Amino acid sequence: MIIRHSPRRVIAASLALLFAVITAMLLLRLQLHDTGMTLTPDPAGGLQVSSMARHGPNAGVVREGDRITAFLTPSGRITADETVVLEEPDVLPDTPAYMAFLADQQRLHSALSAGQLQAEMADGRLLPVQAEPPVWNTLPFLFWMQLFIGFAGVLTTIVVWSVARPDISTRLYVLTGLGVGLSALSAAVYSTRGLGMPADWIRALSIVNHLGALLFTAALSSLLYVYPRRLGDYRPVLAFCFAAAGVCWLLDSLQVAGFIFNHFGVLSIFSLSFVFAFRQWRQTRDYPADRAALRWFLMTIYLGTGLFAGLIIIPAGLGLPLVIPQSFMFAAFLIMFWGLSLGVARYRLFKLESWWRSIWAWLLSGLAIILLDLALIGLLDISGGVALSVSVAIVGWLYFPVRQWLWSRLGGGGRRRLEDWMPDILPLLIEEERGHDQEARLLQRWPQLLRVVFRPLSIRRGEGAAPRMLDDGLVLVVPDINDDAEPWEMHHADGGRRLFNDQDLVNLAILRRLFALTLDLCHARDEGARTERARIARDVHDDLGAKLLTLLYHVPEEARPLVREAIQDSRDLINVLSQEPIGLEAAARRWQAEVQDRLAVAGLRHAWQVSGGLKGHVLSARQFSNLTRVLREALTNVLKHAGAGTVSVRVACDQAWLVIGVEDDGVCDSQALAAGSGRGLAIMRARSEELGASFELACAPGCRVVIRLPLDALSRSGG
Amino acid sequence: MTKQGMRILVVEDVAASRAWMMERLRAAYGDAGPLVVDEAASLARARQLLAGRPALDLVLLDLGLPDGRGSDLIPELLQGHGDVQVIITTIYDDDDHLFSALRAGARGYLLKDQPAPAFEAALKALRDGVPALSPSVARRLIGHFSAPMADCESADCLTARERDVLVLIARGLSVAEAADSLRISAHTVRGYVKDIYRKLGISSRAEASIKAGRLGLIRLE
Repeated sequence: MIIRHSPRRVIAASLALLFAVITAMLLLRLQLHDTGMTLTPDPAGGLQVSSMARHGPNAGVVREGDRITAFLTPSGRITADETVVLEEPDVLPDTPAYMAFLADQQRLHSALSAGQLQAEMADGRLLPVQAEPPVWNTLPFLFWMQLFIGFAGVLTTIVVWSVARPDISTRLYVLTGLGVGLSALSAAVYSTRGLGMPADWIRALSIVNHLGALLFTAALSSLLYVYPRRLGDYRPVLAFCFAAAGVCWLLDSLQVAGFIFNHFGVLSIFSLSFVFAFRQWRQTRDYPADRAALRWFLMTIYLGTGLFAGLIIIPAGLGLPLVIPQSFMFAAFLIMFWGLSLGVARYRLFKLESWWRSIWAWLLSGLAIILLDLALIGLLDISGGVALSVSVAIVGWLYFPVRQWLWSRLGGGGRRRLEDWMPDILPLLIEEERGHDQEARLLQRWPQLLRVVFRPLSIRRGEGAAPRMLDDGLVLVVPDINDDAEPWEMHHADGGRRLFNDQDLVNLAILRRLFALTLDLCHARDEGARTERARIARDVHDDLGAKLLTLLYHVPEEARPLVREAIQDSRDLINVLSQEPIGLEAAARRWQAEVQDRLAVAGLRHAWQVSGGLKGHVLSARQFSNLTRVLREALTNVLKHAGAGTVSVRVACDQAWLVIGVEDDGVCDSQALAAGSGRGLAIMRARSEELGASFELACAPGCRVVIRLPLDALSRSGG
Repeated sequence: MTKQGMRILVVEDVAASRAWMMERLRAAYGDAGPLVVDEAASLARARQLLAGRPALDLVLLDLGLPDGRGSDLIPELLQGHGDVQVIITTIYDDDDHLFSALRAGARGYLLKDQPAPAFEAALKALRDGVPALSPSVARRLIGHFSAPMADCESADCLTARERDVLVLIARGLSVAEAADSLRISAHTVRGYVKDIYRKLGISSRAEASIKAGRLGLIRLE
């Protein structure tokens, strides 16, 4: 079993390894002495000195524009032609030519190191060629560029692999990156070697270079067999690709027939990828998401590799000269890897999501710090005297604090313990929210709590048993608080800094108990309040109700409606204080019943009208009570003042509003309206305000009351 | 109803209400022969009277009595007192009181703040077998049975789990008991109860049991 590590740890380890390899390549390259001359093949024959380093060891002896026809070494004469400065020996036609090339390189290197090399110039002069060990900042641009390409190629694939589910496709993907890394890092040294290089080194680095190329090709073709869709049992196909690559590499390393096996192997395994790509294309016909991923995948792969194959491998195979230096063409692979990275964000390649950018942000800012460090070292290096003290001051006062801050941001403080997250979750647990049903609101905070405690990169609904860990700790599946609901799936603990472990299960248990306890408390409080309210209401009701009844029987007939209204109020008190939400439809039925009763007693006709879908909207007890009061007051108003014959009541839901309108055909006293006085009006206003509803009273020409309540304020019944 | 006239028991603690109802009874049944009306201001007194009076025709029963809920008396009234009609006379009209009284066996439900003529008419109609219900109460009942349900026309709109919970709650189990029986936590059950109430457009246990019966999930006795 592969032991899984957190994404950031994988990346950090890979970075360390990469830097070690790069340092090794750098040290190797620094062994190769530089002459300070840039030599390019001259059409007239020989090599032309196309540029000279001003302070180079040969400055003043050799001039720019001089033409060298041959090099003289203690062990013989070497014709100065393009083979001497050949960037990539793969283009040599056969083994003898290659061996001759290696021998020449070895002689040049030995003579140069011993200070015994002479150049035979076109004008007949014989000049000694001097060399000195290079300094890191005088190394050619192409050397650094290839190191960077190798570094970036490996790193890009490693980042994807570190956060993706362990899967054959991401493993193959990371192998493509390693392949490019091996190729580019090894080529960096020999392709920028200057004049001469030990034959063994060239051999060894070339072999590594070819290993990288074959590894890349085998991994890429295999990848197309398993991604986006599996085309079948992948094991035989993978075995074939990698075995073919291995055999080719072996035959190539033994120099059985020049570089034929390398070129042949790379091209033929690569052409397999076309077959797989075609089959993928057909297989993804009915899967648009996979098709989109595939399209992007193929485009970036074939753009990158196509450029490289078309401009390097095929000409090399045919023995044609390279139009563009191989070193530049490695950049084609970067196009590919970065294109795929973009695809990850866009098409969820390898099932990754956009949050993986945060890993990149972490990585790139970390690299920025290192580069800045290097730059500052360089700066200190060239400063002297006062400049040095200024630099030190800047570094001490500005740079270090900023750097420290950045590091602490990147590091994120490591593992969080109970005492770290407890203060963060307490507000979530005990924070009061207005409105009814604290318990239901609290229930919805569970994923929020998980987010605060475990800080996963993503959290979503999952399935299966819970709690359990998946992918060796990349994912933790956590039960919902509702035992029957789908569990939650958290990906990448602490923003990808670590993996989930047993301690997280302990924390989860604590969190669950805490949450359940809070829920129970919340429920007990609600329940207690409800019981107490109901008791108070009943006491008031029993006392008040009895008295009101007695009053009802004793007052004259015309005062009785008012007493009945008071009795109805006391009934509502019980209903409201029982604190249960009520569906809008049920509420409308109750309103209708009340309107009908009251108007019938008063001898008025009524028109009841309901429109729009009331279904599914739920009023809290408070909202119901307030709307009922407003409606009741509006009716009282009508009965008292209007002298109406018919009262229309309308309850309607449109897109955004619940509208309740009461209108009569009586006479409206606009002056009384304008004065806005009266207890009834005040009640209606106050109740509407409490609801967050608009309240409108107008003469049109009878009295009209319209209440509009935004539907957002209502809850929806559970699906 | 016998030839000796109607034997009636009025259980009511408020004297003015008692008097008012006596008047209504006389107005409604005065023409039908002698009335034998007993009055009780408490459950205890009512029980004393019942002991000495095996047969009754009509009981007007208040719900909020000083020594308990009037509906507790209903089973005793229905056992061994002949073909007695129990009519609830109250000022409560909430679903809890209404449904629990009807489930206990009350045949009518009248609000005492109704206008006198309406109250008398309801009593008179009782003789013809018309159930005595105040209009708003009748409408509420009809609303429950005839109007479309809030979101739910059949048990299908409830999940299997919600149906299980509804059955248990309708049978009178507490949330904790239901949770034990289903082996889930109490807050999970409470969550379901809320969803069920919302889906069915109800707000009390009493309604829940009626709905459960109507949906064919339990058998109503």
